Amino acid sequence: MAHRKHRPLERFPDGAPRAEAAIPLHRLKPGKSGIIARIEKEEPELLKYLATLGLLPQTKVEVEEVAPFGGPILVRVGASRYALGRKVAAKILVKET
Amino acid sequence: MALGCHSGIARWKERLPITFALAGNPNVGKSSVFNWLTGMGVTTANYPGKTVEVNLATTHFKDREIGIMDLPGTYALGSVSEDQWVARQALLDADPDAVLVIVDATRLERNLYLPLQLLDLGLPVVVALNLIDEAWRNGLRIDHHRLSRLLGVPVVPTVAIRGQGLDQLVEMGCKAAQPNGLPRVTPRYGMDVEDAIGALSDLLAKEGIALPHGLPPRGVAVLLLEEDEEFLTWARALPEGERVLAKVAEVASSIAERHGEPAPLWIARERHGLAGAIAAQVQRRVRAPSKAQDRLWRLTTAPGTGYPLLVLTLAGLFAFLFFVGNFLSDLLGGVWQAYASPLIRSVVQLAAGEGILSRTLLWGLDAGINAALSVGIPYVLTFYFLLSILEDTGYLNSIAFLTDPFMHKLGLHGRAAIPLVAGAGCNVPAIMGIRVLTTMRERILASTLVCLMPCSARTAVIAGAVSKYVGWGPAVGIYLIVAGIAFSAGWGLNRVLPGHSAGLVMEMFPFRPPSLSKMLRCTWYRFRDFLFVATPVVLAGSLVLGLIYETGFLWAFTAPLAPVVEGWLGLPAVAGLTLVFAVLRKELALQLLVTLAIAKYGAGVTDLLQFMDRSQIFTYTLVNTLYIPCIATVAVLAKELGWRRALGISGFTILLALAAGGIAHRLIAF
Repeated sequence: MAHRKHRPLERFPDGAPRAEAAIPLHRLKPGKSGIIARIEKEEPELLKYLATLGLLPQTKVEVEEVAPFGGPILVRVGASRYALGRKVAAKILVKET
Repeated sequence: MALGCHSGIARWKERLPITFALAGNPNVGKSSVFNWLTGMGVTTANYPGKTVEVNLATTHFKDREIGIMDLPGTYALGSVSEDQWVARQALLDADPDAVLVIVDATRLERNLYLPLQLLDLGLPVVVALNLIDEAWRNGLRIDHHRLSRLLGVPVVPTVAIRGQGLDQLVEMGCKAAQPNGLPRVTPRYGMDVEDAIGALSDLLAKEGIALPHGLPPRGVAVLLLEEDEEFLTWARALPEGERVLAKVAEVASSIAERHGEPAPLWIARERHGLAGAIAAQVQRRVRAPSKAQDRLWRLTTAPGTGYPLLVLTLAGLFAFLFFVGNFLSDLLGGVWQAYASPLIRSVVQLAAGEGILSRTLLWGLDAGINAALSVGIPYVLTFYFLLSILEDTGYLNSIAFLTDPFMHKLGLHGRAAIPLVAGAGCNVPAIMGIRVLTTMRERILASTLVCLMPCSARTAVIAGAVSKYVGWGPAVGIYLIVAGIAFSAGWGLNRVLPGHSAGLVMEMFPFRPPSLSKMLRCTWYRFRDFLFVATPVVLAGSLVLGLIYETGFLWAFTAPLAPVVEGWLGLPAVAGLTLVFAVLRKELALQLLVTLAIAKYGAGVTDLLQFMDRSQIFTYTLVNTLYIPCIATVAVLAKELGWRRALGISGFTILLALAAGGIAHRLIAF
């Protein structure tokens, strides 16, 4: 799929991976996890709703599945699993861990 | 007893010595607790303009009468979504003696958020630590004594599905109703948040402002800091409003400055932090959780296996629905005709003689009930049973996940898939199933689409008229045309209706082995709802139709309908009459057509082709398939969405049907 292009991991001279810029949650590959860096603020209601579920910056999320055809993604946060629509996932920016 | 307004809940509370509210996240076993506590004496209250339901019931426990209010399942009590709003509003209106919060022991961290929020509002809380058996099997050990000490409220371990621990839960709740029964504890957050809350609640107390719903100053202070729209509006209207709002802004910005995060989010974070810290102190993992859940999720949601599984499941579902539904239909209809029908006939004739009155009564009492038994009931019952299997196992979530991208094209999301599929069986339960959608916009869109789904009764007309007299190709053609129209209507409405579709945010519940008793109970509760809505409507409708027919008044409708039926659709006027009266039950169109044709053209007419050509039969069936589903569906639409919207959707389908019929008459010839 076009939007999931591989990028070579940037590294410091000593070989340690360089901190990557935050990417939208749905760009994480299934099986990968990341830390939420920030959530786009244009929809305060959505922001509050996600916050009640514990989807807040600095929270660790693991992507389990990314549905085809622009479908939702399946994420795991703590002991819970959520399906997030692609539009919602695109607003959640994460740093891969 | 249906309560139509807030004062209704207040009256309900006044009548009863003790009242409890049941709160909890979705799918934590809250309805199991409710059903166990109340048996079947459920009454329902609807909030005006809202369709999320609050169930009210009374129960007896050790000679005490207890009122129980079942709130919609929510993760929190904000004003961000309809279910949260309704839950909070009902809670504040009813001011129950105790709030029994059902928490899921397997997901304690997230589940403790809600009781903390309730404690913030100053409500008396008793925690039911439910699914404790599942937590145990998953290798989690929870010290509920310690949890009780840390939260400062009673905690009762329960297994609601088997009724374990519920007596003790009720007893704890009753204690709360005694004076000084339950200590009102407040959670303690970080120092600066507490300072901010303190400063604000001091101001509210000092100014002597009357707080809404008798909430304590701390509760109102937290809500204002959370930027709760409803409470901000309340504050703005106060004479002291400016001072209060200035203080809110001041303390909120001090939190935001210190933590680099707006106050509402920081409070949510603190609450999650506290919930997480408490959960960590009381639970111990003795072995790693099983991987079976993960494997099941992968199997059902990965595209490679998920879609084939979905197709198989839906095919199996339909096969079961038609097979068992047809069987039940034949059985119930047969039994009725063999035993009940002759009895009713003789009783009615004995009581009312042979005249118009007796024949009219038979339309309702015999033909009406027979129709309900052989058309609505068998399919609805079967469908509800299937739905409860999907729900109880958790597979419904996977279906929603897989169908989400397609539903988005129609302004809906994955959770709408099931009602749409259900609509092919019967529109009535399908529309009741639309409650799973959270916004009114989605409900309107989904209800309109469901109404356009050809249900089993309309399928009967398509089979009995088009495939019999015109051919199977045109019959399939009707389905294709209807599918095309439904898709375009959904697509178009999505663009026309104000607002936009909310993104999908849905918890994926764990797969659980289904429990037969729970599924049967669930099926029965829903089915009972259907019976109460649909049966009186069909009965009354059949009586009215019978009266109009038997008095010969029916023919008076011929002339006013002529321009549309004869001019625009090119159908004989008598066919138009049947279309009007088929609103009672769609398959009635065909039966009535033959009956009226005999009355009008003489006894020799047994074949549609004697007074309609093949193109006319096609147009007739197309119109019958598209316009208003049936009166029972309209009644359910009104119950779920309100009369105005129900009539709007009905009107829309009439226009669609007339447009499609007129075009078909001009373009299609066989």
